[in-house]
Amino acid sequence: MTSTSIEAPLVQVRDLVKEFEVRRSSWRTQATTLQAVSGVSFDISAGEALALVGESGCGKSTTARCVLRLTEPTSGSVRFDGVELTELSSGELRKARKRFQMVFQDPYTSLNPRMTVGEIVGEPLLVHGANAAEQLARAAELLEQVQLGADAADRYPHQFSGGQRQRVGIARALALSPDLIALDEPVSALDVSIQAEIIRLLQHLRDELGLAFLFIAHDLSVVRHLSHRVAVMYLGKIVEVARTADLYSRPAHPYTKALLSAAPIPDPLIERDRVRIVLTGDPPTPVNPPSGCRFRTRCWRAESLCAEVEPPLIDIAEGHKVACHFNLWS
Amino acid sequence: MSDLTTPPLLEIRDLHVRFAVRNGQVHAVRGLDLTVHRGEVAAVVGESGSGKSASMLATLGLLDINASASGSVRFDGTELLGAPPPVLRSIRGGRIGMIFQDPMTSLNPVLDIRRQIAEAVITHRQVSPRQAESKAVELLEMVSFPDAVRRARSYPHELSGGMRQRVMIAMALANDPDILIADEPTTALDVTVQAQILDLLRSLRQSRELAIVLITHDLGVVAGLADTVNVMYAGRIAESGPVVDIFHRPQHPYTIGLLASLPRLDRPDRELTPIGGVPPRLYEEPEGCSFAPRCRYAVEACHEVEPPLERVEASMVACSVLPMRSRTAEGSL
Repeated sequence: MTSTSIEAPLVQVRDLVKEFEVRRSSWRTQATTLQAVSGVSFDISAGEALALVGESGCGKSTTARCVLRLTEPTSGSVRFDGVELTELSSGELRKARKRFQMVFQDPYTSLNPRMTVGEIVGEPLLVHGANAAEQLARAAELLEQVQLGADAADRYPHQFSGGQRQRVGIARALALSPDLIALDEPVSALDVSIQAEIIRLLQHLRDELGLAFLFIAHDLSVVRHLSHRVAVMYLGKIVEVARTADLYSRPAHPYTKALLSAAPIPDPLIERDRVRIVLTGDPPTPVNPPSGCRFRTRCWRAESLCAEVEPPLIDIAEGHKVACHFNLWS
Repeated sequence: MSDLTTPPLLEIRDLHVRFAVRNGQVHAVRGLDLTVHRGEVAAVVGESGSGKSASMLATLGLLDINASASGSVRFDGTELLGAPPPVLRSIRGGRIGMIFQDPMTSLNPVLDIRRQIAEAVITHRQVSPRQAESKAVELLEMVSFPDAVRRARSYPHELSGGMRQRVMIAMALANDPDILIADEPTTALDVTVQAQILDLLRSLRQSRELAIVLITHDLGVVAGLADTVNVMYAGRIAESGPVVDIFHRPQHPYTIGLLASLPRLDRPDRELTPIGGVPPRLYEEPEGCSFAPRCRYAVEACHEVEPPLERVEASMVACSVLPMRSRTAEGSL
């Protein structure tokens, strides 16, 4: 890890909130608000890979989109290398975006089928003022970097497999030599034998180029292979954040423990003997979250305090924070 | 568990499925053999396009009009392939239950769930609508649907993904089937909800001696539930055998490759080894072994002759090299 205590982090997110207006039914005009992200704070150091994990609807993708300002946050602060992104004008933002890029989940819908791979990969350069010759040369270089080969440039996305298309998406994100790449479920649409290739490519890029990653995923085994630190989200809040090895070996939040225990291990001898915590029910809707601790309705350790007082995210060890009144270490 | 002395409940032999497409045909299933015994959980694993879903649709007579199937599918002595529609209708949803990946699109959005389950009962039994509806509530209770009596009048959109999948399972079990065909039953669900559904399937197979054909790409799910595993590649079985053998003594290079490429929660420091290349698209018949172009162990003969399934220890394997076996023989393992 490259994080040092003296250097300011590359990304500083503070009290990020994102609300959406939803109408409960078509004839009722009164809107209710859904808080997808409810006050999230975290840092990412240069060269560090932070994963946001959690189940569908926990706000992990919305958080990432707000950090890159692909979605306007409702409130809160996002500082990128000291610059407050939430206050930038659209022109300033476009310039700033050179330094943070995104890779999307679905390599089938995130590439324009009418553009050649070379044009797709080179487009960010064009936007940022490169000429056609520069664009071509850089595209060839990028396609080599993601191990597709420069001759891929003249072909169209449909001529490639899912894994190869994801490489195109990664090459596009690398085009402007960013400092941070946000990856939203970059391997979950891919078959198992292809996933490993992309995971290895990302590991390689992270280590070679010193890129910081904001990595969104639900698959905990993939996360373990790709991130330095993990933040676990539940219903719009971070419930635990720690270095990857610490989080997996000594989870402190009951939800983290349940998530880890529910993730199947592909080995019948281990899988059948595991003591599993099976949570009851589904996550509640963010339109009307439970009072106090949001996880308490599914938590086997919950007591009356949990319904009354929301637990703050506090340090329990160096680099290890948890938001729980009765965390598993206590 | 499987009892080898009794005849199998479901026996698929040399199944072929072809889809007519604009420029010819796709030979999606190319001679599949699959055996499922009473009370056994048989997993069918493979990547997208390996033919796992197409073979199950063929088994149930649910293929689209542009597809044709040949070979043999025997269910408890009855040949299903080419059976007249009334026979298939009585078996489907009767002695064979089905659940699919996406419970939202498989349920009727304008009927409450009690009526949908009741419909499954009435189709197969001479009962009054009232009896069928009370049976529906019973079934919901059996699949641990919370507050079943009150919430039986809910519509699909009012339910979460996990609840919908419980409704699907309740419908599939409506007529006490001998076998449940489950196509990616937990893929659309979150991991904590997946754990609940897997628990439910585990307890059902035990309490009802239910056989399950579990179609999935998730080897973690297989490890927790299956008795036998059938690994499909390019429309055929590459390897099949008892679950522990498949995971701990894989013989086919594809199975070996799949396991080596899998990120594992319990082994963070393990280097992942991708297989490399992509599966063939079955517009053309592959020459020789269909895995040979991606296989690190392939020899010249592999590109010429398609290897038959042969017994290797407890498994059946379609490979003429058998890298693990020769290694063991040399004593280098």
